[in-house]
Amino acid sequence: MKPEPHPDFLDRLVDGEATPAELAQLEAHLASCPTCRAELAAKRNLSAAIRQQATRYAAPAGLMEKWKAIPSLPVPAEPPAQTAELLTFRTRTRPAPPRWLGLAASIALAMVFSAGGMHLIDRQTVQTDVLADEIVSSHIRSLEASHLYDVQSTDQHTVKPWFAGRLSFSPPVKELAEQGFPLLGGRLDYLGRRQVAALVYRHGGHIINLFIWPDADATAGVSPGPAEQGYNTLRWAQEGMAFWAVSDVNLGDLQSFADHFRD
Amino acid sequence: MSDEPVADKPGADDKIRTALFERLVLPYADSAYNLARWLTRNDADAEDVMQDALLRAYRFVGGFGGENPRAWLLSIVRNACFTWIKRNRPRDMVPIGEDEGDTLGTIVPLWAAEPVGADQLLERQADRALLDRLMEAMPAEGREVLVLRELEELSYKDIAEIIGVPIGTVMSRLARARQRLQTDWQRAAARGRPA
Repeated sequence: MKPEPHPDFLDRLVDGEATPAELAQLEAHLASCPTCRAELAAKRNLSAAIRQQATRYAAPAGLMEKWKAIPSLPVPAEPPAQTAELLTFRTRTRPAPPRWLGLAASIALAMVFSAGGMHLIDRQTVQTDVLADEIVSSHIRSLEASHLYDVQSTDQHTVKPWFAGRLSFSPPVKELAEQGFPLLGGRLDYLGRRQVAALVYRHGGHIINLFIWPDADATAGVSPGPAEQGYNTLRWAQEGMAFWAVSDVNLGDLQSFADHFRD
Repeated sequence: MSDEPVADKPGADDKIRTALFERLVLPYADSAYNLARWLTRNDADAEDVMQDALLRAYRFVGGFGGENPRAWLLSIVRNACFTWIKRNRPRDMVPIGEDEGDTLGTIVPLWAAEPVGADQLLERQADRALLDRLMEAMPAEGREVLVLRELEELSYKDIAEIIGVPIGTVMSRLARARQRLQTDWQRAAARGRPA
């Protein structure tokens, strides 16, 4: 007497959710049961029909517009009134501005803001995406090639001097084990054509790479860079150097890492 | 998935929250709207529900610590939808499989009106419209699992988390929903076929 499979086993087959142990049993049953074979074919048909023919609705642009308008991090909630007027004026006089005008407007905006001494849209913004991409690639490379560190040490007094003979600058190195981010080591890395220091920290099962290089113009406040391929990035500046932290930890933990490092 | 107690604490940094919202919520807006649209069955209501859901997501995103932001957002959306359905369309809440009424009575397959020999394109359009209408005619619970499984292509585990039921319940709902859609489809096809 053949064991009767559970009635929804055909659905699990269609959905690829049958366990390997089940599969053998189910296939044996199918081989001897034309009714189930026909039923399985019908279910696969239906599934394919829904996927191909049922409507996939997209969020209406009008609805999303206001949600996308929530200002992203480095930009204040409300632009200065003067700038807002300027932009309104431009929109009114040119109902359908060409794409380059948007760029021109943001450059104008950047100029207005930097003239006001506010670090809002600095020159680096344009390069930020490219840099974030490089940083994430470098992070991934460091994990994949198991070239995580050139110097492996949890002691800042070992890691810092190691950099001294190899770089033209001296990156700050901190032990943050007590705060939940033990130092694992450091290595030399390249971003673009620039040689940078990379400090490697651990948080739970996650690796955090902290890239450091001299940059007198870097923006002081901590701000998330673009997330790339599921990795979060966070950047800040201190002591004339730029810092980019990258990891697959969530942004909140990365933020707390940055806070401890800056303390 | 219940991140609410730790979320929305006063003093949560709005800037971080905004950044998280942009990273974790906005990329899945289309998925979220698709579910809301299928559950409410019209654009105006879908937009209202979506608005509520996004507001909740924005408030609670600071407490989200999971690995699947899309599933998290979809669970907020489906909860908002079912609250809306209970309030506005209580008849739609019949558990799938328990309503034996012929909801197809009002549905006339489009191809019934087409002359014999209508070209391939028209037939496809008719199929598309028919499947949409058959799915819309199902109770919300069945529609929900079909949309999450077939259109959002989520695993049983993710669907179970989103809906907040055991995986076994997802399986039986999906099996019943497919069973019913299959029957409805065959019936509609039989009715639409020229004698």
